[in-house]
Amino acid sequence: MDFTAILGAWIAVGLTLFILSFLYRDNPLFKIAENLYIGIAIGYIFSITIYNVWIPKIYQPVSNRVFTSLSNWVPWVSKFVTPAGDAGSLTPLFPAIIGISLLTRIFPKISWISRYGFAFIVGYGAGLAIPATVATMFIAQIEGTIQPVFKLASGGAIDLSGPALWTSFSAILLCLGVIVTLFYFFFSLEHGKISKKVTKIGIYFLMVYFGAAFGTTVMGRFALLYGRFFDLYTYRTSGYYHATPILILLVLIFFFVYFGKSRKTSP
Amino acid sequence: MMLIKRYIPLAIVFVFGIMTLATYYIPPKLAQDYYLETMNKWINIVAAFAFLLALLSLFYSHYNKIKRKVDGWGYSIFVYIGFLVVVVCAIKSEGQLMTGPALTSLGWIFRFLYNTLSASMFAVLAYYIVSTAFRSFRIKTLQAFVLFMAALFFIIGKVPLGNVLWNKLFFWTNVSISQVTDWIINVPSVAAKRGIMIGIAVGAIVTSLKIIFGIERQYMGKD
Amino acid sequence: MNLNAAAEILFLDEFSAADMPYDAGEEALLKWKTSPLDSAQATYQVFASTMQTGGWIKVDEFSADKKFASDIKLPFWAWKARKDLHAVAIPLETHFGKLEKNKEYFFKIISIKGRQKFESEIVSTQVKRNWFNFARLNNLVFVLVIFGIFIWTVSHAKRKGLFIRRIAGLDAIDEAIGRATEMGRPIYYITGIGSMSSISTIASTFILGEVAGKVAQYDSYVKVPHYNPIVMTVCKEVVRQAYLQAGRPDSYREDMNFFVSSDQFSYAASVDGMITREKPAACFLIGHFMAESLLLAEVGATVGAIQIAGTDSEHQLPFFFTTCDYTLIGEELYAAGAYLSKEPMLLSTLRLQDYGKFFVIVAVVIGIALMTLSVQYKWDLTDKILENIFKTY
Repeated sequence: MDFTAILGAWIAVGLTLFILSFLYRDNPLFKIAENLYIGIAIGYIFSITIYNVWIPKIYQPVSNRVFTSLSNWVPWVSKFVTPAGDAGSLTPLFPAIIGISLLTRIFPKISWISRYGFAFIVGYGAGLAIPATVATMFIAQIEGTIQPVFKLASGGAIDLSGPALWTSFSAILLCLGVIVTLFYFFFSLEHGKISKKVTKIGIYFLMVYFGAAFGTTVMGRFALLYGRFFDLYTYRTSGYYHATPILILLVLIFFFVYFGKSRKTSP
Repeated sequence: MMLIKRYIPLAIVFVFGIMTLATYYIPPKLAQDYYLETMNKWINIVAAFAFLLALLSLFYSHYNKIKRKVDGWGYSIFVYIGFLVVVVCAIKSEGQLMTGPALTSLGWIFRFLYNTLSASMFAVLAYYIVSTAFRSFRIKTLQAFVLFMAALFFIIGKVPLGNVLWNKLFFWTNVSISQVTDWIINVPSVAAKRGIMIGIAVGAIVTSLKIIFGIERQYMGKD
Repeated sequence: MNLNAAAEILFLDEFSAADMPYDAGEEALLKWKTSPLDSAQATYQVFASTMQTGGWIKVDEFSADKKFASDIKLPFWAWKARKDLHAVAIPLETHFGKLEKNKEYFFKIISIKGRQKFESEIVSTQVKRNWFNFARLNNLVFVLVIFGIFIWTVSHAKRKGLFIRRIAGLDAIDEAIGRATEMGRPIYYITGIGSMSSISTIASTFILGEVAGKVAQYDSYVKVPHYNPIVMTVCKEVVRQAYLQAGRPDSYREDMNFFVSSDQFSYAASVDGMITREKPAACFLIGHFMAESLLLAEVGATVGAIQIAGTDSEHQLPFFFTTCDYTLIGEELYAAGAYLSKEPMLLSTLRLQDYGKFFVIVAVVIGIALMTLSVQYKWDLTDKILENIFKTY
């Protein structure tokens, strides 16, 4: 097997054990993994910003534009630099200025400049949110709730069979559920006896929802756990020089020594 | 000075807010071509600058830890090691994870380190979800009991053993566990979810309006 | 040819072409009257060209019992959903590439029934960009009405006498901070992983201001680990102001707000580590959260912190609810700013939120009643109007 794959397997097993060791107790191995994780994640995001934003969205358009203009004015420039791709544009400078304005936060004297950046971001977000929320969370939710309570049977009369009545009951319950849940959120209503009861019923609906959401997620998360154990299982073989059993043993020995020692030192 | 420090920023919030809002009412493709795409690019660029701020803050705080030799300062070195290794590999692989079918060095790090760490945190999460369940299902109130029962139905429904048990114990009801869970999902659960979502919608719309009209402006700080 | 066969010819009546309304100028709309001879056995073939004389491309073909004006998904105020009219939208860009301005496009249709073919006259149209999407009029009307009521409510805010119900999670802030002071342990305030343009993050910064103010008064200590650098800079300002207002600018420290990671799980791992080591007396988890919600809240619960959570991410609510002492559910989070500040103008917006919910309740009740009656009495029109008003186009 390829050396890099074996090394990868050993590192993967080690890091998995380091992270999982946190479930027992905080320990140096977890601290190593935790800090390494931050470094790797930030390094990765940094590389993505370089290759997906800085170079294609800022550097290239601006430098292309600058070079094209330069070579128009001073022809000999084009002998040395040929701009890659299109003529470029200077528009990225505008968001760049907004971005730089955010950096003024470091200097308290001029930190108010950053407000221009916040204003842009927050204004855009709020403007985007209003119609979209009206559409997907307001109108669409009402649309989903407004349904006829009864269905017609094949004869044309209202269907009063057992299953149909159950459907009708469910439809009414759904509608009531929405109303009492909304009632729970009323802020400026002084609650009398009845409205207090209604609010309570609303809470029970919320509990059913929370329970259902919890129950469905539990199982989904377990699938991810299996995935992790599957990797550990794969890396146990002689092809990987028994990465999993050896590292488990080493971690256990470390734990034994480390927590044994700290037990002795602490009174 | 108040004008530059406060009123113009608030005016920018208002103008950008209304402008963005208006784009919802022109055909989506035009909005995308003429406004949203550019804005997204801009937001990306602004975020790229803000990320520099993050990087400075992170390095500074870990540098301080090392300099002052606070408890556990040695671990901070791993932040720098991780960062440097990834960035060097990224430059070497020009930001690509794969070259053809082969992993680049960045791709190797992504797969064996980054993915491993993320997946391990997910595994921790799986453990926590169980421990939370055990702790919170020590039923104290009727409300907690309702939550517990709802969750229980779903857990029973998803586990093969649960299905078998259900069919043994409740065969006389003529209702399968999946029918029960479907009903819970489609009736009481969805009712509460809709209630929550409509509430959130109302709250989000009003908050957005407060922001656009400059009534809520604490995020700008005072002066 | 006998007479009977001639009668079978499928003529196209009132065939016309026009620009597709309310679109970005990519489609042409062809219309013609339905015929009694329309059936599954007959077909229409649609041809388009950039010239009147030739270059015809077949752009659509369908059986004659399909594609009516009523099949076009537009609301009743923008479109007459007739059943006696065939209507086809032709996406010109897919056939002719990038469209030019003021260019005529030509269309003809060949109808085939049995062995009989009929070729229509040639019609033409230009396509143009429509700058108003009339189909979203319902949304616009809602938004304008909300704007109107908002401005009215805010400008008519009463000075006093507005009742607001208790929000337990917000009342518990004092308790949590008091406890932290007594125990001499820090308070963690986590703003979630939302960006500054997300509304819940903005709501969270407001609550942070109130919390930091109280922390300053009680002379306790707050730590705010960050995921998003922009949110961090905003929060620095908010906390600094809070300390200034509480009259303790000397106690404010720049590193109360610090950046951890912009990566969801490394952020969670690191903050989990901090919480385990420092054992805060109180944790606030307020803002936008995803899967890391439980990773953070569960660790907080195991170290015995009082936890107050609040989020509008409805998927994470169950986890907060089971691990935290208090949870601000959805809208309660947005109400927090008004609730804590007690400013009349902000409080009046809470009433506005109640109007909104009241409207929904009324709309739902009346809507269901009308829908149910319309099943019984076959009020198709009522059905349609309701369906169109509460629909997103």
